[in-house]
Parts: sequence; C-alpha cells; structure tokens
Amino acid sequence: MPLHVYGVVRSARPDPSSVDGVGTPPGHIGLVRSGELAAAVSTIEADFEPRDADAVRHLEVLIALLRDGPVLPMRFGTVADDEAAVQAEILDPVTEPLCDSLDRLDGLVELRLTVVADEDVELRRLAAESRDVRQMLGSASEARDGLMAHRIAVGERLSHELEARRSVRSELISGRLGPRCVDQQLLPNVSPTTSSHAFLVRADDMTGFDRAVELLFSDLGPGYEVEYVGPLPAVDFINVESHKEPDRWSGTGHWGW
Amino acid sequence: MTVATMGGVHRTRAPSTLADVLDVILDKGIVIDVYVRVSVIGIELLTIEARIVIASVDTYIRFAEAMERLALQPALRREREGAGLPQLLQGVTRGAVEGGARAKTRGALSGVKETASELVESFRGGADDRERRVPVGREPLRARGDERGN
Repeated sequence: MPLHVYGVVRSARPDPSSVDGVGTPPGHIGLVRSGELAAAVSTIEADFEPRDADAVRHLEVLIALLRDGPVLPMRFGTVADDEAAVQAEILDPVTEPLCDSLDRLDGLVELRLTVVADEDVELRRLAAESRDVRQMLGSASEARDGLMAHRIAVGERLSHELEARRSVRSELISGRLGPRCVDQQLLPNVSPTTSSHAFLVRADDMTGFDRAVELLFSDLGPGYEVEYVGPLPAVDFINVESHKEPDRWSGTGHWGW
Repeated sequence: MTVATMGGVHRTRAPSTLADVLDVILDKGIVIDVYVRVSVIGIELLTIEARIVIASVDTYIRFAEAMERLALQPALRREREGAGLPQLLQGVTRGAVEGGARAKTRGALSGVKETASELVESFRGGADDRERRVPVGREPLRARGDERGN
C-alpha cells in the first residue's frame, strides 16, 4: 500500500504513540527504518488526495514526533509507493546530510510569533505623527467624490506608511528576542499591519523565551494582537549540506528544501 | 489567538486556524522532485516562483476608506479645523482602548484564501521581505474541502 511520509527522524527512538495520520479512515503512524534514519509514515488509499483536515493532521503528527527528538518535516503530500521506496529514495541517498541536520536541530524547537496591529489604531497614530499624512487626508476629503485614482493614491500612501511602521516594529521584535534564540526568520507578511516571526529556540529555554515575549508586549502597549505558537518542528530552519553541493546528488535526482 | 492587552501572552501548541496551519506547512519541508516511486501530490507540484509586484488596489481603497471614516470622528475633524495635536493624541489613546485588539486585516488569514485578490493580497505583503513561492495548486485543496461539505 502507498505511504504518506511525514518527516525524517532518528532511527533510535520509540515508535510513535497513537496519533492519527492522514486519510479516511486515519492511517496509523509507523516508522520505516534504514540505518540511523527513519521516516514517519502511514498507509493511505491509492487514490489519496490531501484535504484540509489532512494538512492539520500532518502538522499534528510532526508536533507529536517532536516530543521524542528532532524531526525534519517532509513537504506535505509526499507519497511513496511502499517502504522500500521510502528507504531507497528518501533515507538512503542523503543519509549524511539528514543526520547532520537532525544533530543540528536536536534540542531546538520553532516558536512562531505573529503580531497584528489594530488597523484603526495604526491609522490614528499615523495621522497623529505625520503632518504630511494629515495634509494628504485634507485634500483627500475634498476629492472624496472625485477620481477613484486619487483615493487609490491615498490608500497606497497609507499602505506604505503602515509598512514602514511595521518594519520598525519587526526590527524591535527581532532585536528584543534575538539574544534569546539560536536563529530567527522574518516570515512573509499578509498585510501591512501584520508581522510574522519564526524563532529557533532551545527547548529547555522556552519559559525564558515566553517571559521575553510577555515583557516585549507589555512594552509595546495597547493595540496589538498576538498569536504565539509552539513548540513546532523547525520548518523554517531546515537547510542541509546537500543544498550547497548540488553536484554530489546529480546522479540520484534533485533535492529541494 | 491571544490578546496581548488583556494580561499575559500565552503560547498555544498549534495554530488556531486552518489558514495558519497551511501557513506553517505549505512550501516547507523536504521535497523530492524527480524520484520514481516517491512524489508530492495534490498541491505542491505546480509551485512557481513569483516575486509579487502587483499591488493590491483593493487594499489601498480599504485603507483610504478606513482613514476617511476615522477622519469623520471628532478628534481628527478638530485636528483639521486647527485644534492641534493633544486632542488628536487623546483620540489615539481612546482608539486604542475602544479598538481593543480587533484586527480587520486578519480576514485573509482566518480561512483558506477564497479569491484571487485575497491570494494576491496575502502574498504582496511579503514581497518587500523576500520572494515567496506561490502554491498555484492551493485551490484544489479547498475545492476538495468544499466537496466534503465543509
């Protein structure tokens, strides 16, 4: 039967406890081992297609695996014909870089912080702090019934101003939390009022990081909503030697990260 | 979702919405492109590189309208009539309390992207930070969800 592949882990770890895999009915999670490495998999129907609920389960499985050691997530929707294919095409060709990556991420987890500034509050602050913006708004209200193009121009200007405020905020967040993490990434942003950060943090220092986050937000003041999630597998901090040495793997196919 | 203004910030073990889950896992993880008996199905095979340069006009209009709406409120109107900064700052403070932690821009995140313009909006925000891979195949994921009656 075909297998859905969740991630690569160390071979020397207990079999995963009962957590539902993808598919209907949910597959049972097992390990396909090869030497020092193992892949977490579950059986799926031949006509399996990933659905919304499967995306949630994929992440749940990865989070569960993280409890027993480092995890390298596979791209969601990775399907192998059988156990032999998992060994021959995932684990065996790049054993060394995968092992190195697992060693590098051992004891580390990803924490994600998304900060959403209240739009009205941000716009009020913008108007309060910038005479230029106030002048522009004055002319905008005169032109309210006029050209749509003018309104778009005003909105574009506001959007850029909000983005500028967001970059300042992102730098503040990075600067304040940087010393407490091993690595960090600014993630793509959804809107000019949202900033998303991923932090690679020592699992044994999560409470310290939590305190730093709390302190940061009491200093930021009102008008911000926070989503703070983790510990997650280090999805934003995976990079492997093979990426730097593409020639070495040219004979066996292409790996991307 | 935790409201920072109402006490401490709390860490949750997993993202609270499907869109946030997808944000964590899509475009991430190890990929195998050309193996014979392993493949990535459904959503990721069709990913393309796209540096988004399209600015979302809809978003601009929304900001302009929001500001016009705010400008009709007393603090800003007085400012335009020459009342000066202190009142305006009061408006800011009051707005922060009244506004609470609502986040209207969160709309694009609270569900799977519904329209092309939402997709564009969701990507354009990141264009200034770094390029982003756009999963063209994200649509079928939602379409199948709809078939299930979700």
